[in-house]
Amino acid sequence: MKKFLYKISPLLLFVAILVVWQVFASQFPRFNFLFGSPSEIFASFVRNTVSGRLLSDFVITGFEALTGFVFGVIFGTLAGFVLWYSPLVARIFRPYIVILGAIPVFAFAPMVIVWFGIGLSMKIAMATLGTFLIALTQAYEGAKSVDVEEFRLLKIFGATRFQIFQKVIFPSSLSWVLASMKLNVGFALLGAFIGEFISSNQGLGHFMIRAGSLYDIPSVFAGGVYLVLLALLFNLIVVFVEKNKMKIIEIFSVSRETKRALKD
Amino acid sequence: MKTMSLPTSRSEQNNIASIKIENVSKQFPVNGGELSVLDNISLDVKSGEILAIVGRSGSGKSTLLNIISGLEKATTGQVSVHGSVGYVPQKDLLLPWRTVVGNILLPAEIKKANLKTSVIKARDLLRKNGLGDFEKSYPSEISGGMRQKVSLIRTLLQDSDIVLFDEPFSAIDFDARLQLVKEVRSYIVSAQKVGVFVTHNFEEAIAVSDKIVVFSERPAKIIYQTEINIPDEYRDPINVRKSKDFQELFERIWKLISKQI
Repeated sequence: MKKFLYKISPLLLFVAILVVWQVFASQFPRFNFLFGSPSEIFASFVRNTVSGRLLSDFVITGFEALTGFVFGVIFGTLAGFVLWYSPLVARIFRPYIVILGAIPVFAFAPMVIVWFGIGLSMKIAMATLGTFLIALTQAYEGAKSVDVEEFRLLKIFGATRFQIFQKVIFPSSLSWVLASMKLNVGFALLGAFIGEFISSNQGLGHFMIRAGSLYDIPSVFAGGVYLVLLALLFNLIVVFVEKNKMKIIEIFSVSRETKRALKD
Repeated sequence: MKTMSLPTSRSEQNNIASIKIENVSKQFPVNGGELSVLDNISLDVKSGEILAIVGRSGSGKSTLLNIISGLEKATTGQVSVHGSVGYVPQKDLLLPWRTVVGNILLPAEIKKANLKTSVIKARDLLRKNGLGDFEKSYPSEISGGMRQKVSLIRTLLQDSDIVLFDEPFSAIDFDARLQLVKEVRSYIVSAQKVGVFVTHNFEEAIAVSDKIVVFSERPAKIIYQTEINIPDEYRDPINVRKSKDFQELFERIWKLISKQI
């Protein structure tokens, strides 16, 4: 019994909050106006889900964030590895990367609108921008943190720089890349959301902002629930990649000849 | 699993491997100034010989190995190395995402050598060394001593003419170590390889080598060198104590090293 309670203790807190929230909302109209009530949130959630409204917004925001996430992580990680590969490129670009990293990426939003308009591509661009630099820095730091001794050993084996990358750098920085992916789940959603905040006629951001401007707080929360669901879904993708880490390394890092020779 | 079987070499005849180092000095630039690491080092090793380098840590032994293996250039002096170079590092440096056999095949994979024969040789050596069941294990799943053996097999399978050992047995159990010292020596001598053995354990150095040089503290100079003539039956860190020159040699090296404190 004790063990069971311990296991579900986070859930208990959730239920307790809902109960207190519901009681407050029913007792104090002012509180109800500011925060809504769990029952109203649930009602709005069901109403907007059944009507299909929230579902289509969920798909749209999910598409924007996921596309931006994939672009940002792939290009950012590649760029980070290029910086490792060429010390000259790293030397040239490092100061600019530091400066770019210091500016909130979303300050570029006005320019992004000029470049991409106010459609779907603008939101994707925002999500890409929001994730690119983190992926870049993590991949670069990961590549640089490789054990000097391993590096030295491969050089004695006669490995080329690309072979060193393939056999040691990529596999050992993969955990850094995965860490950047975990961070970037949030930043991709943030990018898409801010894109929708600036200008949109669909998406979860649009839904929540519109509801907020109508003082429909329960609907804002209902949209928030879908945002949380999106974040969880993206996390599942990262977990999937993490689970297949060894396979990915093997595909990229162990040569086909070796695999064939080991088979027979 | 005490014994260690090392590979047989293809190049037992016509071996001309050698290392000759003359008046080598090495300085590293350190913020504005210069750090002198090696000072006028001269040594030579011929095939079938093992040279042991003894000295305190940080005395430039690893720098010398780097110069021999071509990773670094000497600032002044002549370095001539004939033959391919293999290296047994102090840490096993097995890649955690590769299986035991995958790690052993890494050098062959890099050199794009014939992997089929390498696999056969690797499996054979693993089996002979009691590691046959661990072929598909990952390094994290086997003991430190086993990992060190795998690391040794990885280097020796390359069949390099020159093998550099950088304190290779520091992670291995004492009894396994006795056997390994013996095996490594008979491998180098019978296959007519060149061995360079860096260590701070001078019993081990005396047991394994044909020549010993003692390095001073940085910048390293050779402060003592001698040939070791110990019969083969005494060639392990325990039995070596019974050989007649051991005591005198041990005390002399100990005095030289302990003076440096």
